[in-house]
Amino acid sequence: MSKVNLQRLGETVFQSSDRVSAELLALTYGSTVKQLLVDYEEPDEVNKQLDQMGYNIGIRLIEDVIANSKIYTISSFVDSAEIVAKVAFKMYLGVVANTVDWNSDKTEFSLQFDDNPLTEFTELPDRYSDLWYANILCGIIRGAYEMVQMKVECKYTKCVLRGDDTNEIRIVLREMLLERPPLDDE
Amino acid sequence: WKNGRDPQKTDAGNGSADVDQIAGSLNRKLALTNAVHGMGYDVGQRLIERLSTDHLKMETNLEVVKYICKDFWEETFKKQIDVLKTNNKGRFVLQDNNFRWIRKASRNDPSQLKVEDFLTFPAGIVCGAMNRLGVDCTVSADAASAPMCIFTVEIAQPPNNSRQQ
Repeated sequence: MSKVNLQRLGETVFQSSDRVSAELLALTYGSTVKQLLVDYEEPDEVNKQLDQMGYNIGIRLIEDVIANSKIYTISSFVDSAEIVAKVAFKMYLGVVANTVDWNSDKTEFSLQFDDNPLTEFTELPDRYSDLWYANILCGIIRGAYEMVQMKVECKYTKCVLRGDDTNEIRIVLREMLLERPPLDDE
Repeated sequence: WKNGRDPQKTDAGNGSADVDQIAGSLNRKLALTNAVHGMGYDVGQRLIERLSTDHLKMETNLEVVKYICKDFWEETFKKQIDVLKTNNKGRFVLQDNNFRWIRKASRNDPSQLKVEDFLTFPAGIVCGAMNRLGVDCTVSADAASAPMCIFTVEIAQPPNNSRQQ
């Protein structure tokens, strides 16, 4: 599917799905991060926890993406990138991302988005400068990819809360997983 | 149970380890519930601040509760409260016949989570919002027949009765 079609699809699914107020989402996410900072203290550890939480969301969320968008086949990593950027981001965050900086092998790209509803009303105090505030997104993407047989690495590389001009997540394809029946399958 | 191992410990012989364990897990659950409630409280406070800026000052407890049931509920949970009851002595019972956040919750969840546990957070939200509007109260939630659920708001009586209905 072309970029334009995907963008239209994302828009349609977004319009037809149930929504919560963006303020509620932003505030709830904020208080979650705050609580994690209380519980784990170290920003690095909080980054890890957010990633893990995201992973647990991602492995379930992918079903919802497929069911609602009715995209049943993802033919390549390049296609998948556009689906994440134009459909999934629109569905759950209401914003569209761009895929940029592909490497020559087409196994790495960056997801760029200017607006992030999760970071609304948020400022990062100096002592938490190592925190990737919206790191949950990395986990979600990683988890979702894993369920469609692609092992990826996901890393936040730019965040407006840190003074960057945009948000950027680097996604690296590590391995295409083969579909194998479970060992004791009869 | 303030320190978790109150009376049972002294008289139990072999059973004390179990009691400790149960007390430990109860304490853990209580601490978690408190933390989640606190998070909700925080969210409720900040949410209502943004929502109610253009609203006229609410004079009575009833006005505040009505605002919560209509505008606030609509904004936060995408519908209004279905039934509001009160005993006119500071207790308000808010009934939502189809609460959005537990519509798809399973009754037979194999994990230890009960449907009620999912209401800790929204109860905190309601409590925080009420508090921000100047009403000191506690909020508890019940989901015996989910997705119908009931929030009970118990308003703390001010010593000088300055806020009467």
